[in-house]
Amino acid sequence: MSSSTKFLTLKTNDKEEFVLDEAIAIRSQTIKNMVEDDCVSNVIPLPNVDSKTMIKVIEYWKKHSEEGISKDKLMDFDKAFVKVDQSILYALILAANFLNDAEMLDMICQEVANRIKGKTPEEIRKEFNIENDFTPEEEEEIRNENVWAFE
Amino acid sequence: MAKRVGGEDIISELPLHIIHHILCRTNLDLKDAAISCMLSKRWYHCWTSRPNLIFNQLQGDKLMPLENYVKLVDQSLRSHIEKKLHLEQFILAYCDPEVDSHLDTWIELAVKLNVTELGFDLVHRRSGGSSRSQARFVQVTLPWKRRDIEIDPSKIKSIQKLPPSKVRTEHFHRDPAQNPIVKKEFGFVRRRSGGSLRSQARFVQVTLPRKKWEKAVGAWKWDKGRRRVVIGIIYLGQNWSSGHIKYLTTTSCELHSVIVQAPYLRCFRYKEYAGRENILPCEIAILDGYNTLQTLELVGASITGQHFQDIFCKFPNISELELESCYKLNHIEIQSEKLKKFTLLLGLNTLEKLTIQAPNLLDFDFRGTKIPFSYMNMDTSSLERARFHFFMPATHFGSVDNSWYTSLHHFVQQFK
Repeated sequence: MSSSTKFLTLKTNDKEEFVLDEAIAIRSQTIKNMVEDDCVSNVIPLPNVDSKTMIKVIEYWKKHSEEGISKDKLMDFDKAFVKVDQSILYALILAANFLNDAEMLDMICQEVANRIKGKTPEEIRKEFNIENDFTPEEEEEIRNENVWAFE
Repeated sequence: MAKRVGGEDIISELPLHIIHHILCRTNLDLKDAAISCMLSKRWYHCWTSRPNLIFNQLQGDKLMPLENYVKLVDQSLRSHIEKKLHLEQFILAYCDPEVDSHLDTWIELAVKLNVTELGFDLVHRRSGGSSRSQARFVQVTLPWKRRDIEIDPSKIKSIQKLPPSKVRTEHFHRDPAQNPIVKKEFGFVRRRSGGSLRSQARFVQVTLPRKKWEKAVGAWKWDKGRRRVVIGIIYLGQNWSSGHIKYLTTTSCELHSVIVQAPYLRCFRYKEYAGRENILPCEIAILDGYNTLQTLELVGASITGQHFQDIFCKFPNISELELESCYKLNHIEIQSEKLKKFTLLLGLNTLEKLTIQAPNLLDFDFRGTKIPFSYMNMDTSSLERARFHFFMPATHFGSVDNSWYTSLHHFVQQFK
């Protein structure tokens, strides 16, 4: 539509290039700062993001930039978006953190919180493969020190 | 449900601040978050080092016993002190008014840790039914004043308050890299509690105009003595990636001093509507934002011409200026390349001299009784729109001095 649409090229750490409308890319505060400071020559390198993750990020950005999209639709989209393998979820968190997209980071952290919610320590450990490196005595001590108030 | 990755623990590898985010900045309740400390040594460290100490006495529908609650808050704060940990938020929501008696000690400890945000909500439990969904108002008690004020909870997320001795203006300005709390816009509106206008308890409310951000937050000011200093802390759930205060408005706060230190300040508004007789002496100091300030509005400020000039000349980029009911302003001298809009509403015969050298001024509004004719000097070459509203001098109709009309004629002549 707009004749002044500018495009940016983003290059991930596995050398893939993504050409993206600047208006969408500046959802990332990191990229926005670069654009505003005129640090953008032609290609923006994203050393902390791989292409697989970037495809997801761009999918999210595009959906959230759609004009006139309803809140419900966005919520459905977000719900489906985070139904992914843990490894992808963490890659997305790190990408959102690096790109400094607070909205996306909030959304994904909430998903991790949802996976923690209502579980016992043992269930959480199982869910996330966390190894219990306490001795039984230490565990008891921590319980007495920190968790007693909720029992 | 997500598929499990073969035995690998990736979540524990996440940076500490992200784990803090998951534990403290999501809707995870205190109990679920606290349990995390039992997972492993790494998680124990994550939980105990969190910079957000937020305690809600209501856990779901259950009320934590008073004794437990107090002990929990106390222990957590003291552990932060012992380990010299970083503290950003200290926010309490509680139902037992007895908690009040501990507040002073806790505030002191939190301030010792350079806390950036304090919030205390005394949530009243209504008899019968869930208090959360039914309560129309959150009741807030100012412990050092013993006065209750009612605040609409839809407008307020938490009430922030500090005793006057803890007030420091540097709270206005924090390094955003260390503090992920956005300070974008401040507005102070005094709420009147009860009937008396100049009642003792005054609540100051912060409004955030953009829906995207979580609604409001409180800020507050109070002092028994002569000097009142506002501090305000804004907490925003979303969009905390950057920022400083950019907009600051104080309305009817009856402050004795307003000291603003905000390096990115773009707009400052001070409004007091006390009337000529009651003009409140208020020290106004803007200590930063010299290049960013674009809008300055002073209503009912006790500044003099000299003081105004001292302020104005420090801010070369002001493009919008509004002065209203500043009855001590006897002369105004403006020299600015950037000024585009100037509104001067004085209404009383105080202004003696007006000098405007603003070649780019586009819009000029004037309202007053007396035209500061004889000393008026204007460069208004770019002026596109000017509005004048003269009140007749306070004499009987017909007895107005002829010179008034002559002066008016001269005045208008200047805007050719």
